[in-house]
Amino acid sequence: MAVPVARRNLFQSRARLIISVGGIALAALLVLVLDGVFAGSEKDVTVFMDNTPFDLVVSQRGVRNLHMTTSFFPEQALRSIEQVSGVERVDPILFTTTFLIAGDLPTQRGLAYLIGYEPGRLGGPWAWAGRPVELGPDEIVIDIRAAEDFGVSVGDEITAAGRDLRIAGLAEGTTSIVNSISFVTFEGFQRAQGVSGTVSFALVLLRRDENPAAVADRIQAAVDGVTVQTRADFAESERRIVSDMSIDIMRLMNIIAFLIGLSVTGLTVYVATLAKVREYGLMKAIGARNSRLFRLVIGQAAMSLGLGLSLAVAVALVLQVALGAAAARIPMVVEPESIARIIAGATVIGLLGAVIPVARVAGLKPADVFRR
Amino acid sequence: MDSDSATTHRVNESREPIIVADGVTKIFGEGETKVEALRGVDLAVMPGEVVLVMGPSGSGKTTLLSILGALLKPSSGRISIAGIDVTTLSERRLPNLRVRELGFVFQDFNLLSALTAVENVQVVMDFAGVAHAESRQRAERLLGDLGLSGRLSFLPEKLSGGEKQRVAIARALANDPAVLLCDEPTANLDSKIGHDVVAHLRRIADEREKAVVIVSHDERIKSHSDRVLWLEDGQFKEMRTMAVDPVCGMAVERETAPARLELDGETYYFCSRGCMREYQEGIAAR
Ligand SMILES: Nc1ncnc2c1ncn2[C@@H]1O[C@H](COP(=O)(O)OP(=O)(O)OP(=O)(O)O)[C@@H](O)[C@H]1O
Ligand SMILES: [Mg+2]
Repeated sequence: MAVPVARRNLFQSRARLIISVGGIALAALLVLVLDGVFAGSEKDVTVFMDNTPFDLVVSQRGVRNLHMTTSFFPEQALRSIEQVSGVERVDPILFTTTFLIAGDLPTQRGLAYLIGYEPGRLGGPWAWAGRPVELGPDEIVIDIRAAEDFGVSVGDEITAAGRDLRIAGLAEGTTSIVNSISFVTFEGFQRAQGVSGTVSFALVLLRRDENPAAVADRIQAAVDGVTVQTRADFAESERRIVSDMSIDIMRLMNIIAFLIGLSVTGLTVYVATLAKVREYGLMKAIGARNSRLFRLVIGQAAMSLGLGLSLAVAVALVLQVALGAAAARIPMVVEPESIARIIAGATVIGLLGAVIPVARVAGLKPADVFRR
Repeated sequence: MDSDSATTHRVNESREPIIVADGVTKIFGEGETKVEALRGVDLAVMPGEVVLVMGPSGSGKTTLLSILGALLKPSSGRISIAGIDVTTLSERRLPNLRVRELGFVFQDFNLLSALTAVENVQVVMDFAGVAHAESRQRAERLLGDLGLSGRLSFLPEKLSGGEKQRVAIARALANDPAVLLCDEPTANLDSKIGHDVVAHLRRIADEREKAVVIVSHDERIKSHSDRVLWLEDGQFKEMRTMAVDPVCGMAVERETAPARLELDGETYYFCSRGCMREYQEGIAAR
């Protein structure tokens, strides 16, 4: 074991240690948090698809998602879909986008998906804040966060789709950056909107071992005027439409944050290396080989990167839990790809930041150590 | 060490010189900014010999030392260290020469600030591939020899100037090189401490048969040296003709000194009338 010069350099001064490890950690944390919020928001956009266990969805022809669409097709089509081989069950829902109005204050109104479902079948709330309830036709389930924002709770009245409905229960986890989701019965929806004989979407469950794509093709062939998608495609369309509209800006912010994060990391390591460059020159003069100098700075950079990045990941995971907790309403999901991306980027840039100043020393004649 | 030690240290004449410089010139830059830092310098230093190189600022002393230390290539001429022709050695083989045959001592110590005293000495043994346990033992012994047993795990910032320079000397000796090259080793030390450091260098030359080249303005090192060389304008000149201005420390030629002063049978030479006046005022004030 040789004298651990890299470790000594790194831990020599607490201030410098904090600056180099902290700088890297902060830069990486910035990226992880923004990535995480981005991923969290993106996930939230598809909560309905992610939590309702249908295999295929049938919609009015050309409609591929929920956001800013209306979809209606005749109820009779449900019979035809049921008869397609491979189909186990078909559950219809009605869908519209509406305003929930709980009072006169601006904070007491909000955009929401309104879904009408047949109680006991697919399409209803999947997680309840409190006790699950059987909905009556004049009742509604809204998201608990919306309820808190509006200052209403179970038993209160709220206007949805132009009708006053009694809040029968509260759903959990149906809020995204764009809206929340509220639920009424199929019948309640029909009354509120004055529709009958049509459905918005048919949620299809398949028999065991059926190939979703093959059944989708069969439904498509058997039923006119509809579009059939798998659940994953439905979610993907939803994600894409929302991201085209709003998440693009976040994605741009993320890219900028990533670049800033990498620059800060590179500069941090560069400055830490530069602070010692005279000593590296001296080491060369008294007999260190260039390879030894490179190993030294790479070792030191690797240590500060390791510490800084670990710290960032740890803090990001803590934040994910803390922000996910009820009070803070910031969806954040730290994804492994996001961690991998920042580790890879920071490592490459950090090592460049270490090697570049030393490459200069290595190329130099070491006579300068006698100069002051 | 007494003042006539120069005559008491006999150098083994039958040996081969360990340092040989042959017609060394060094030119920096070209055209308008061309500087001839060295013009045909010859030098041979025997094992166990302490050679002091003095001379005015800018005369090429550091340049000479850098070339002797294989830190700088001469423009022409030849350098050999311990029988190895340094001038033709490839860049790849220089680290090995520096680490094994040369030890450097600098004016501002140049210790690695994050390493303890003993690690500063060990690290050059690492460069030479010495195993850790052995390097530790050797470093402790070297530091012990220089009276630093109680300072092994001190960081440089916790050491006094004299202690730092002794650590630097231990480091220079770590791989038992044939040659020690010292640039102004006492310039940052007060006179008592500086004297100690030079005494250590003298002892090392005697006991370990090292060739020691010291560049310095420090008059007191003369008494510890076997030879004093005067470098001026990149050439060695006769020492006799030179004197040191007692005020500013500059070297002045006796014959052409701009000012001189006879006082109590002694002659003082000055670089300027200003310095002479300052000297006279100083005496008057006493
Ligand atoms: N790298 C360099 N490039 C250009 N000129 C240089 C370089 N190094 C030294 N010189 C010039 O060579 C001359 C000799 O310099 P050197 O440093 O050897 O003098 P010195 O005797 O050590 O002076 P001092 O006593 O002030 O340390 C000076 O004129 C200096 O300006
Ligand atoms: Mg000099």
